[in-house]
Amino acid sequence: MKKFKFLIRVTLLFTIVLTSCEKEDFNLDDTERQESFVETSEGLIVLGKQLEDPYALKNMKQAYSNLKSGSLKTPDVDIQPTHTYMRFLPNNEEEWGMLKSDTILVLYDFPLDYEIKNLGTYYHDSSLPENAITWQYCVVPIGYNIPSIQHELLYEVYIPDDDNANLKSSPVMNQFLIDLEYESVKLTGNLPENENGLKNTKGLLPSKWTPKGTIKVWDNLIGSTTTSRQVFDHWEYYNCGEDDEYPMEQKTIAPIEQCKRAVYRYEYTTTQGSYIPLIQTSVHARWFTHIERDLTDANGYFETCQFRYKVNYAIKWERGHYDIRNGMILQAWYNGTKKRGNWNLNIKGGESIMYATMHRAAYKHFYGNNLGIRRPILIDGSKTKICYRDGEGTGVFWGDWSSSGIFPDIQVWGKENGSYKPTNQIFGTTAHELGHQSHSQYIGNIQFWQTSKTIYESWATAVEWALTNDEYHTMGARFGGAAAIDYNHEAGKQSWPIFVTWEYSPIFIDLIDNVNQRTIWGANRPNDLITGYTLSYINYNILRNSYGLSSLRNEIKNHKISGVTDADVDELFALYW
Amino acid sequence: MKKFILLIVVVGSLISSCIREFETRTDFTIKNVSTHNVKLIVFDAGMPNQNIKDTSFLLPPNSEIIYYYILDGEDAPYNSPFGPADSIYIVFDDNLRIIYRRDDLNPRNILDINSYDSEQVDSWYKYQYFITDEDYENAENIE
Repeated sequence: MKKFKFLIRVTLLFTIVLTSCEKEDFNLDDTERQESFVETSEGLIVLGKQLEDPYALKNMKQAYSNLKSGSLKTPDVDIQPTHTYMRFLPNNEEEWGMLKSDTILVLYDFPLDYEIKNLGTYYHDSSLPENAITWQYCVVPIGYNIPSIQHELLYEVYIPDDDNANLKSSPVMNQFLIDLEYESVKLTGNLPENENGLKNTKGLLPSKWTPKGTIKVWDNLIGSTTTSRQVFDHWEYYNCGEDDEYPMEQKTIAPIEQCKRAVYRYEYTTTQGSYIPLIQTSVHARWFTHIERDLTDANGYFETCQFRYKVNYAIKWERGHYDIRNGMILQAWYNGTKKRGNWNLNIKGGESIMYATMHRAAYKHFYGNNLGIRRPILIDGSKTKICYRDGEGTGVFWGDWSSSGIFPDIQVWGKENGSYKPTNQIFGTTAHELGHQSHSQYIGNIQFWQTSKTIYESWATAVEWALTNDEYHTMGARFGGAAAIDYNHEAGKQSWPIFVTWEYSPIFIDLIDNVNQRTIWGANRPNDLITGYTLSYINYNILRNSYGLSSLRNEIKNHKISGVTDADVDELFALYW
Repeated sequence: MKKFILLIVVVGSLISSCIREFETRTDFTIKNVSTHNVKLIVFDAGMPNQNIKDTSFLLPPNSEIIYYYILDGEDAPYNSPFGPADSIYIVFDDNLRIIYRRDDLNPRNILDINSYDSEQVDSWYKYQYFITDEDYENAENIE
């Protein structure tokens, strides 16, 4: 028996030693998912108290001094800043655009050394006028040429992992940098709390871990989702005391009394819609001034470089060619909770699903499969300002006035009749407005405004129809859902002109689709005998010289595809005059 | 310079207001208030954002289907229940049915907007159609 106890002790000891040596990446159950729709996490980001940044150079130097005084073996190191933490105050959109187009700068519109009390989706410094662009915070590498825009140096930063002069020079130096970071974290009071909520100042150095996860967004039409709920089914009666824990003899001795217990069953409900991967979204992981980023892949997965402590996860709704805003001047964000572990996020509801869906449409236009049309990239290289408006309305394209810095480029309203619109509508409206921008950038802004409304609205309508259909057909093929696979955005406007505003005609759609609406809706619809054009062919061969219906008809006749006759073209246009 | 900015603001707002878009929403609700199971078989149904195709709906007693169309324009209700549908069977308990065609003058024609109860709030139109026991009484045997 003694031998057995000894064996158990040895086994336990081995287990403890082995688990404490565990250096593998911290990993949470992948089934853990964070539902995004928490009302309090939307709206204004609210800051708490200012914190001491362990990466601030002054703190690192103090940490070095502590180490040096504690051990003679500490190597002599000249700690020089690796970065500068600073903030800019752009005076106008032009200056802001300059900062945004600088790929070295990772801009935040809230300070990085503050506690965040309400995660929020946007921030504006309350000390500035309401309509002023807010301070832009960033961490720039030493030696960076600072643009001549009003700025303040907040403090110098030392990030050991970026200290290329000392890093990897020797195992001793590597260990020193680890010790230095730990000491700075300790002296600034940022050590993680232990199970008792106390700062674990005597604990082991936390292992490095990799922020990663999957970002998904809800779509109303793609796929289907089955949910279950437990419902009462019936009462089950049994003899009280009838329990396996009691010996059989006792049961028979005790008086028989009837007890009842509820029996439940599961009911399953299948609804249209599901979470789909959010592709090519910019995910940030940040601990104070240490920032790492990644773009989500086709499965919504991201993975950044490693950290040692908890990070603030966030999505910045921005890419190289566009910037999604809350209202006119506020950068849109999704701020996740501070954690050490995977960030598996499902976005559903609120403003965040609007940003995510606008991102989907913008990504398709600017980077994805846009069916070969001219991308809406602004000629001056600035980012397209896509403004989300949390109210009732549809969408507006203001024209390319970016260089003037006065107007937003595009606005999309998210609500109708008091509720958020379905995702296919938001996707369509964003694709439509960017269709205008693609058109104006292709033919020139001045020419664009000389084009008749029927031409530019019908073209944007065709772009909206084709891109939205393609998105739903592609994602429907991946994730299922009859409504997505068979999707026909706004029914291709085939009921025009009866139910559709005149200028939003299907004239371009009719060149592409294989539906003749006259055979469906009757004689007061166009007789569409044409099919087989592509959006791309129309864009590059027909659109440039089409300023009105007459010139459009001529251009189509001049660029007929196989099987199309002049008579077919005249027939299609017959109802337009 | 100030005049220039003012000019851009004025011109910009004029241009932008020219392309402001409006939408009108039209809801259709079909409610089965009869005591029978109902199946709707719609031929060439043009459901919102879907290709035109034959479509069926099951409506147990006291259930309803709701669908809506969004059209461009400030006052643009969609007046065509089930889109360009050609005809419809309303089948009761799998053995009786009523057939309506697009141009039927029958005042109960479910494909005719005039058979619906209507309500309008700004640019939101709502149409409701109730399938009743009286419809069941008027249905004919499926041959």
